[in-house]
Amino acid sequence: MIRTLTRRGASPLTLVGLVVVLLTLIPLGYIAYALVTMGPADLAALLWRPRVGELLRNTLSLMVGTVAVTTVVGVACAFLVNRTDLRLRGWWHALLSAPLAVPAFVNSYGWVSLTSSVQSYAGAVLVVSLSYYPLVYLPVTAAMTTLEAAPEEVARSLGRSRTRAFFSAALPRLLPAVLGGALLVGLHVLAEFGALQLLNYQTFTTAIYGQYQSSFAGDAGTALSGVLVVLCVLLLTVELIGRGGRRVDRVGRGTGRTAEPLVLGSRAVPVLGLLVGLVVLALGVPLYSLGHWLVVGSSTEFPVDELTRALGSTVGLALGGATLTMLMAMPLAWLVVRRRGPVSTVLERLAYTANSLPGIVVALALVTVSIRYAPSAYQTVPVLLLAYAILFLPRALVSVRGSLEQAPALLDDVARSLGLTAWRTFLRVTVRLVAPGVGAGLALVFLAVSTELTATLLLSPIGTTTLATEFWSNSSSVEYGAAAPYALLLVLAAVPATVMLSRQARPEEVRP
Amino acid sequence: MSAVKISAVSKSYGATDVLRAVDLDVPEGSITSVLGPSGCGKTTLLRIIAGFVRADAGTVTIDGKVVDDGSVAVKPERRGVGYVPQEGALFPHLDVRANILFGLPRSARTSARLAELMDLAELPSALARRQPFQLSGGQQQRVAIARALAPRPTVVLLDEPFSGLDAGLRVSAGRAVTRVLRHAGATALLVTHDQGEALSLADQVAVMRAGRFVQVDEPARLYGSPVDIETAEFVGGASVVPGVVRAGVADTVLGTIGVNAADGPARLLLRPEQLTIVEPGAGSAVGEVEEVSFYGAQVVVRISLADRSAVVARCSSTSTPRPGDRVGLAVDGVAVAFPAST
Repeated sequence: MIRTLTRRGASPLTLVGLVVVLLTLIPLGYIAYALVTMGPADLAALLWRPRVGELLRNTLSLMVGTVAVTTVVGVACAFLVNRTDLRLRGWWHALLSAPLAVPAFVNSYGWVSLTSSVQSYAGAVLVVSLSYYPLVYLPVTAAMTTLEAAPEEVARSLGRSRTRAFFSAALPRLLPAVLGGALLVGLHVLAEFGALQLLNYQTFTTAIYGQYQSSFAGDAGTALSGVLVVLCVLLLTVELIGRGGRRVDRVGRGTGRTAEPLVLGSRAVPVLGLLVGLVVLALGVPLYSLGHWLVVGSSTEFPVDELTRALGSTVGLALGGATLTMLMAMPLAWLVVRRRGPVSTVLERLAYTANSLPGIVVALALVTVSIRYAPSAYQTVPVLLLAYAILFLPRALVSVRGSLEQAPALLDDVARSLGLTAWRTFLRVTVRLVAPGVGAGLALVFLAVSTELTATLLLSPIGTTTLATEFWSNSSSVEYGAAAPYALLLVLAAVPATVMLSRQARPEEVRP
Repeated sequence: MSAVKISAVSKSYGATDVLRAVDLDVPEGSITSVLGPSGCGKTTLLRIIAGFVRADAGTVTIDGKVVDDGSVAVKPERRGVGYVPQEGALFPHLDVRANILFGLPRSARTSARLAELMDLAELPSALARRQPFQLSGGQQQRVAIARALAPRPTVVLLDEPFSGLDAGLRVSAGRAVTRVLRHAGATALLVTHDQGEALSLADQVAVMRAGRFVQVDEPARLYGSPVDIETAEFVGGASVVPGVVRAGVADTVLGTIGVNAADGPARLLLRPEQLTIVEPGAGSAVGEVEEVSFYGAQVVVRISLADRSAVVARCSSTSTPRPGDRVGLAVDGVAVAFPAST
């Protein structure tokens, strides 16, 4: 038995995990409670309006358009980088993942400040897709680097062309990665606030923000939040059904041989043209726009004091948010890895579900709950930090969980058999092995918090300015030059996390 | 007639020559094995025949048609080859039925053809709706063979098909697969690094070393008359003793041994089964047992001789010597002679 030295059954740790999960469930629980107490008649009156129908149309059509575009672009880019003899693939991989470092609302600002013609459905699909296609590209690339070529080669020797062999023997095995990426894009589109507000494109998320501004924590906002939550759940369900119960991983250990690269030949020039075009649109336009406004803006004023203040409070909030999130993630990760069982699994699933909620829903629920039940906590730092923790818990959980799995209980047993006490074992073995994962998780959450806009706008204490809120107040009042320095810092804050994600999915170098 | 004919095929990756002008004929209806250590180029050759990799020079002919002449290559899907990679590589998202019928045109994907193929591959019909991961390693292997045979290919290419299976399963899976291939009357090319597999399953074995075929022969001839000592040692246990040949008899540390070689110094190859352990006594060479490896039915004994060289003998497990014992050695049959090392 591996687990001879770990205790089993309910324990204080399980209770801690339960508390953590209950905290993350506050927004969802509140919305469910509010919708039920509102009663069907009131709810129908709030929702059965042409306005809601229009929002639904807007939101769904944007989601479908964006998911379609990002899936095609993401899979196509992954194919070109991983499966052809494209030169400098390492550079292309970096360039193609780089748009993740430009927060969607900064990208949107880049476009809107150059041309108002993107303030349309097509414009919204374009801008949002350019921001989110790496969410498909990265997992598909990661899947392709380990995708064994043998089934595709068998399909070819059985008479399928290269294209048909790819579709019939490779794509089904890439499906989980493609669907997972598409799901992320869908959830991001549902949650996107800043980018769409700047593009003047109304969805549920922007409408909830509007409700919040006009009627504060009213029932109308809660009802719209409820619809948004239902949409998120539907999306998760569709993805689950699409994935199906089938196992698509390889059978057996396989050879690990990856496919022979497709020789582009005369197609290299148009392919390069397309890739350059994509990078120009996704990266060139926002960065050019940023540079342009930096030059124009700094000629008038460069508010060093305000910048420093915003930077200071951003770093402070990010540190606090990352620490709280990690403190909540660690007991959960420990439960999931070391105390496997139905209780742990349910707790973990619940924690992930809570994260699928858009920031606006979490923020609005916390506003309402704090006003109704703890008015003194309203717009205080702890509630804001809790919102961050609810939103970013899975990022921390994934990191800690991954490294905890590298520290199997078997090693604890070995250490104990060598005469170490349980506590010494924890310090000398477990902590050392888990530390990198904890560090990576902290960094990821830190960076996510520093570029978070929606919850910060609703929950930050009065007078507290962050990079995101300062950027927002300037850019939404069309002071593009004044917004530029904040945008620059936001991009810089997002670079390390992007590099980390890009490295994890790095394509294999082709042999010479 | 040859199902596959390879002439002067070369391939290099950068500065590394993987294949150096190799020739090979795979006769129709036969099983040919390409045997060699890993990295010798055998898998590259198979991939060139299948069309996944292009030859730099030389020609590949399948069923009388040139499919690769170093400049123009027929696409893999037009070659009529069946391909069975390591562990079969079944499509994980398709069930057994869909896997087997994958290569047939839609109209030909009938239950009758499926039943025929499953019967041929000795697969119980109850497996038709199973998913690949529900099958044992040997069953996966046979599904892969049935899938490759379904479109009636000119040749079936098997790339180390058994190396993923554990030792016990390898032998039975190998026998089952060759039985299926022979029932189907198929031509097959089997790439392997396992000499036992090559010798026991194939009609013709082509030994490859560093991008060249060093010998292409029937298994028995390959084992009995290898072209050089390296090949001899690669295809089976071997002891090499120096000797001087005079009039068809070699004088060695083991006494006199019959050979078919010209007079002069030579190196003689003795297979373990040619050496018999006897009571030490007059007329027989004497040595000291160094190492005894017990395999159940038989025992392999390493014996050091008077000149401190060592030979390997095989004996039955009923009379096993112990390390340190002094034993006598008798030689059966004729040894193969190679020129003395220079």
